[in-house]
Amino acid sequence: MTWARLTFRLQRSSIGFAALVCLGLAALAAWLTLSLPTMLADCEGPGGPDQCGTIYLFGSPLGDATLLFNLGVGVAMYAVPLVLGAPVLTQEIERRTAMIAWPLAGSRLRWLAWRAGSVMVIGLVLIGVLAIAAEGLAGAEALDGDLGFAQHGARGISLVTRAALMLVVAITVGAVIGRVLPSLLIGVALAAGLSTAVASLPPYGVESTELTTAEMNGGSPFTTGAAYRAPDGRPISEDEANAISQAVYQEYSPELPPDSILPYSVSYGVAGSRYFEVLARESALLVGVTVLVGGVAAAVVQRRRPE
Amino acid sequence: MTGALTWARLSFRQQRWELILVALGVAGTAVAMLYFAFTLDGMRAASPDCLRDLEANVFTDSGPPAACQAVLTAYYDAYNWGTNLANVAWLAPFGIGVILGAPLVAREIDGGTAQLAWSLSPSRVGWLVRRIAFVSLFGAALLAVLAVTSALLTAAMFPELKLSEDFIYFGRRDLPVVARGAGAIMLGVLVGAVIGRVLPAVLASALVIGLAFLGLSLGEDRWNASEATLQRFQETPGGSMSFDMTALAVAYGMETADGEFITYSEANERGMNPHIADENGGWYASEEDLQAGRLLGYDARLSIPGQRYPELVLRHSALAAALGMLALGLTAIVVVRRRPV
Repeated sequence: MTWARLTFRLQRSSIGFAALVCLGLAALAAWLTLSLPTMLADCEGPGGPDQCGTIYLFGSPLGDATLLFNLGVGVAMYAVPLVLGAPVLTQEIERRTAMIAWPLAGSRLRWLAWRAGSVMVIGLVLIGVLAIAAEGLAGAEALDGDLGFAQHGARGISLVTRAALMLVVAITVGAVIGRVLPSLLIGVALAAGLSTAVASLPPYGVESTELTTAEMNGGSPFTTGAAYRAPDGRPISEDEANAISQAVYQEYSPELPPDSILPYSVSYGVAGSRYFEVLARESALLVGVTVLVGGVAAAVVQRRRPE
Repeated sequence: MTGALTWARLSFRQQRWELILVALGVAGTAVAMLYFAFTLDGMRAASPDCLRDLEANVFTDSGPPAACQAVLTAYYDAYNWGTNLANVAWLAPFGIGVILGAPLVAREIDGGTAQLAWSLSPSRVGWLVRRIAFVSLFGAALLAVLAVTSALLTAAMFPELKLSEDFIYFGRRDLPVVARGAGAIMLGVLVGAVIGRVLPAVLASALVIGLAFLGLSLGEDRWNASEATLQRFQETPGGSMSFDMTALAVAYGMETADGEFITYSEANERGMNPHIADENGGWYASEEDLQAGRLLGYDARLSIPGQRYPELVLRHSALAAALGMLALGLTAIVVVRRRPV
């Protein structure tokens, strides 16, 4: 309790910001989750289709509010760890309290474990609340109950592992740079890089297969690519598919040709039913990188000269 | 002159890291903008047959000609990058306001140097002006670079448009980028002076700047709406859509049977419930109303013609600058009244 109070006193504004953002978004998610059954029930009633045409805007039964929530989560999962993590060491270095704290602590690593650990606990609890709320909303949105890869990275464990890595990266950047604002700016650039990296890494070596119609229509698969097939099912290149389409359209013009004589595309990827396989690999990788980056932070603190 | 240089040097040393990082960010964005502007120009010059008339080449039943597909894919990739970079030009003034403005006075108070500086300076207002002059000019110069490169990029993305009379990418190019930045920096300074601590000031200024410009934007929307002209989607019954694409769209909604303009949400609030549209852009509450000819209104919008772009640019910039001046005045009051910490 004393640790939590001291940590809060040292980082009142950033913890306040993190709590406001995470709990605010979690409350919004809870409200949306609870509102969803009523809205869907209204859509099923008489005269529903006209209203639901608006409600289903952006492909979500809750329209703009859900879209904004997902946008908010996308920003918060990096902004909250950055604002929490960057000041952990920079404040101590900038205000020169590190010079007193390090010799008094006996071991710099123990001091770091307490100083950064308490912020990490607070941060992960807040992010965890948000992750659970986002998972609940995503579950309510998936009408067939099968989430698959829907909102991957913006809910549940995948959100927490990303945020934890960003938090440790922010602490490490702060340890290296030693000043709050530059650390925040560099952290923003690193957050953009991290976001791009984690978006491009899946499916983490899980084998892609041609997705069946059932896999495409249910359980939100993760698609890795597409290919073309001739009307008889033979694989063809994109150029061939285009050439066949052009010829068929010209033959039938001005009428539209039947679908059965046109080439069609097939998707490759990982079916939604294999989501946890991908999630486990991703979590292992991100936790590993988090530990590694944490080690870098420890090494920097250990070797840094008192300023 | 020597005094000004000394203050500039001092200001630079106090915010060296932020100034360097922001300058690097702006330089990178400006170079990327120029690169994509030249890339788009070069693509059009190299493949005039595919890129000359995109509507004719792309929006056909059978899709674009096979020979043009690779060119079009590359062109739209570059175009999408251009759109993202133009969005950076929109965001940059607010970001610079937070990063450069908020710590200016907050750091002096937070670090305890304000006490000494204010005691040594004959006037706190004079100190404030000298303290913020260099950073404001530096920020404005960086934003001017972005404004110009963004305008060049926009010209490359829309070569068929006369940009001096077109509202496309309004606020993402030209003078508003700089004026918004000046306003945002001053707002950041004000928040920093009130809060007196760097990190809380940075977090709070992001909120204050966002809210202040949202308020400005809503106020301008009202002003624009009072000057806008009503335009039906289809000028003549059964005619094609006749949008003036150069115009600034102020609001979308319906022209009611008695000639009043109301937005779609206002129509729903009044219980008009426009559900069914006919081929002339007319709205009806139900199938029965359509058959009976009980018209609610026509699709319409309020817009300001593109010819007024220079005037609205000046007006918007003047408002953003006035917001900045107001913030500067309030900052001066805060600094004068603030007790040394």
